[in-house]
Amino acid sequence: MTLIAALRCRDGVILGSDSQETRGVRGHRLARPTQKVYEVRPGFLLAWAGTQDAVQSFALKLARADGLSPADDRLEIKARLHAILKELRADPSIEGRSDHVEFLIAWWSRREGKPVALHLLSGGAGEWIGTWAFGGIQLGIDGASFAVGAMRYIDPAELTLEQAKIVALKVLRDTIETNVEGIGGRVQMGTVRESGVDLVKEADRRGLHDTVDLWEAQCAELLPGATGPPSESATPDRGVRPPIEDE
Amino acid sequence: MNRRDWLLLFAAYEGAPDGLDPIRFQKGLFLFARRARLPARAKYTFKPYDYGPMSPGIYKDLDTLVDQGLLELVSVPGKSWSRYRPSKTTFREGQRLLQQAEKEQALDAARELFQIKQDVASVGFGELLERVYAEYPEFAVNSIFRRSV
Repeated sequence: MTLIAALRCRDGVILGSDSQETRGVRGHRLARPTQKVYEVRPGFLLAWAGTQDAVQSFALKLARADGLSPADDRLEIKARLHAILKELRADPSIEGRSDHVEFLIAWWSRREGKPVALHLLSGGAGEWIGTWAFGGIQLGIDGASFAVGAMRYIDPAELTLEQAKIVALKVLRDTIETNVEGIGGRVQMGTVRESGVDLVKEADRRGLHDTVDLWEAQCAELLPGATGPPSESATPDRGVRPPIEDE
Repeated sequence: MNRRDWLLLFAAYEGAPDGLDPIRFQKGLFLFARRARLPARAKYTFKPYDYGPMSPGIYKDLDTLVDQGLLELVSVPGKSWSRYRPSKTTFREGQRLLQQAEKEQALDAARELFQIKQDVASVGFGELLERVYAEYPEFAVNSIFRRSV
């Protein structure tokens, strides 16, 4: 089970997810880390939720599709993606072909000069994403939607991509930290901007988490009775100090 | 002394008995890199990031110090973030590093680092960021936080 998220902002799109793949039935579940956000073909960022064989088949067909480019008309791209899904549903070799599978796909539309993102469902529906979109387990979607609702004072359309990464990370992190069953592990994120697709790597991931921590800490500092700086601790200080300078 | 030694000495200094968060380590070692008269190998390299100057090397070395048992990573009750807390081993290493600094005639830098620790440990995050941004505006260019001035 999975939670995937898309956030479209002023100058790009962020796709994110948890990183846990769950198998088995309740009481006998196994969880392991898996990659859920990746550049499926040059210029196209994909996040997925659902049964892995159906997802892999879709991703493979998309990766091999002839002549599909972010420079194409977005409606043409959407039609091609729907055609791949239709093909997948008709393929008897895919066990999970009738299971519910969801995709978030983002690219930089060169024709329109702006980021676009599509929420695609294996049943055939496809919705253009305005600001936020979520997919995956319902409890996770509810949790993430609540987290977004708690920050409704933030207008995604006004955010830079870097700011939006922080907001998206906070929403995903808060949802995962509430221990929604079936989702977990580290947050994965990728971005689409005019210059192309980027996946958030380990060093940047640490920095982003610290930025969210800093944001939360600054919010806490604004409230009366907030904890003081580290020097105000009542714990006995056994730290060292350098010798005083000679006169 | 290499840059990880200075990082450990920063942690061993008095001023924050419950430890420091990664942001204060970043800011403290950044100020040290700008102010101390030491060779480049003794300093971290910083880039302008979401919260001002940031060095990925500090994250890596903090992890190493935790793995070596020279620092403890402790979560802060009720918060999402953690702190790096010094232990008896940290203090013992800190004393050794001060002797090393004396041998290398780097006590002025050690005193500078001590003063920086007192400064970063005694202010809130908002004020800390403002001070760094005011002094080094070139490292605030990618900050995602609005400045108050």
